[in-house]
Amino acid sequence: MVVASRFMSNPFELFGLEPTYAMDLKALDAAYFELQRQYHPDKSTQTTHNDHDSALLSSDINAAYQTLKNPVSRAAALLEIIGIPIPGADGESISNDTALLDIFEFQETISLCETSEQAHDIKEELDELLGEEQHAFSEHFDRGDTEALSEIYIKLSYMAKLRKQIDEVEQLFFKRNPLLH
Amino acid sequence: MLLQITEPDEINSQDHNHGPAIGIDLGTTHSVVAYVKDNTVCTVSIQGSTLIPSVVSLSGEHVGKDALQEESSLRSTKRLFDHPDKLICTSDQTPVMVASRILHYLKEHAEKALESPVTQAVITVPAYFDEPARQATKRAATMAGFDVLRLISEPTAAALAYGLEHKSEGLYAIYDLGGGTFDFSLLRLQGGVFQVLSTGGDIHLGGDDIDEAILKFWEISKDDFPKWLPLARQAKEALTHNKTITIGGFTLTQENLYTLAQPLISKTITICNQVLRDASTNVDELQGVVLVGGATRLKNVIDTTTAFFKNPPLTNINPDEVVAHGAALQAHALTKGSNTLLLDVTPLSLGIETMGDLFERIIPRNTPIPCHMAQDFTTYADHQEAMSIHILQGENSHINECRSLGTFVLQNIPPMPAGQARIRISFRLDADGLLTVSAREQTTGTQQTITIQPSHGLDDDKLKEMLITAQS
Repeated sequence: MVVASRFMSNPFELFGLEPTYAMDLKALDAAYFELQRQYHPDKSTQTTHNDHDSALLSSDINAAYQTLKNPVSRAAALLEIIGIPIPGADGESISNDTALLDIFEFQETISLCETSEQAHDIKEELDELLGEEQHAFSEHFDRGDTEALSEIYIKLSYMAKLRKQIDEVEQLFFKRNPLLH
Repeated sequence: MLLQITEPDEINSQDHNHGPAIGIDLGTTHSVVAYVKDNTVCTVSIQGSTLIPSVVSLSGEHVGKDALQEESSLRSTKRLFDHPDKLICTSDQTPVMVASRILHYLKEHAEKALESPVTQAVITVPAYFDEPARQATKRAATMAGFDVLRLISEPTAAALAYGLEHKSEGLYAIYDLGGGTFDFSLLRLQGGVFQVLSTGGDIHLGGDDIDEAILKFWEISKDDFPKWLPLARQAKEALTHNKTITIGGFTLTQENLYTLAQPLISKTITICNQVLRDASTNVDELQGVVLVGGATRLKNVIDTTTAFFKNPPLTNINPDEVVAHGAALQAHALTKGSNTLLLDVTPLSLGIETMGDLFERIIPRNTPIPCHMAQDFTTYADHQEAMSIHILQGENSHINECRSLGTFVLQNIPPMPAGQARIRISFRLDADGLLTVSAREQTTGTQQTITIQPSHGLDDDKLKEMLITAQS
């Protein structure tokens, strides 16, 4: 996926924030609102920007915001800033056996999941693991230990996918009897 | 190549600084008009009521209460907006024409109330309306003589009114169950910014369904539904205060009503749960739940939402008028300037058809708008010279379950082995949620421009012709 944005190379800069993984999401929101107050097309009719530029800028601000809000794309943005190729981009295959082994195991657990309680437990377990990987990414990045970042990124992105899968499974269980919950 | 899924003239020439601007809630069963005067929101009253029946007589002559009194009339036609230009059976009118007639009627009465010509309006649509339905609403408004400042989602409008009138801050959910549609939206209200986080709904789910369920329960044949519908409605309303009601020889108890309405309410709760998931949040994070729409007066809607959200909903608003109030406030903000800012999202995913009849998302649902996203595709045959691009909207991975928005062809792709060409397809959504799609072959820069109308739309001449008819 290519997000058309001229700020894509450094969305942190756009918001005037330090490039760091463990970022203050409240500060991001504040910076985001501040920029949209200036560039959103609804505001452009009141200021001097022309409509076309304003829509484009406003789109870029939205794209950068989405990038930083999501833990996986935020990691990707940081990799890009320090010049590490993003694993899995450009269709290149990922070779990391240990990480994949865990993923396969999880995938199986999800496919065998039969109750919403089980789904909930899997989700909690995944959330914990995701938290650990995010913490690891943050620590390694701040230390300048770039060697390990690619591998952590791979784990992060796979776990985020699993997290989405289990979420969908949970919603299916919910749908069967919405008024019970 | 450029595909413009919009009437090109409409977006450009807007003058935001002339005359009063009004807000219109164009509802399935009722419509409401409001405006801001001296910093207060006023609702237009017609024949003693602010709730104007969204009804047009078969002849098209009468609108509102007058049309209601006629033997046969066109009602709840907003439910037909997935085919906005198809003639409604037994009439020579389309849903767009009916909507236009209603809007024209509302415009006349707003002008009377304001003692001034009115051309500018913010009109609300269900959050879950797709692209063609939004286009159709805009066309209906143009035919009625309006310059549409903005289409905004009904729950967003409700949040605007609620947030501004009650000076609320935090994370709020808007549960909007109207006559014909259900919408659920999550919004963050902070320092004058209204940020929609996620939204979902069903454009075929509303209070009308409960009325029909009552008629089925009374074993009335489907052909007689129009005749008995008012009775079902009366019975339903009476049961908010009584345990049982006998009307026109039919009996209905509160328990009956609960049983009949429960499947519908289950569906709404499933949607609420999905929308909360989409925003990665849960009911414990909510500051409050606002109920909007006449059908939320039902006791079991209140009971069920209270149980699901673990808190009683906020009821210190008028669920019928709040949407129009929000639209009026946004109309005022867009014309007179204000400190509020509305950040909306796209309710449905947009993308294209790929091999095997599959739908490939380019802009996922709940992406903040305006937005601009692109994805690269390639050719599947050697020396392929053209590529057909089919644009769709929906959440299913199979194209047959999605709404087709249009098709165009990128030609003159230079001859290359399969998989070598890089074709970048860009989607652009503006702040109104209107879509522009372009395709470009990257290695040579081949890019052509065509403009087509929405697949369910009318050409410009036809629109002008209808415009003249509507005014005469």
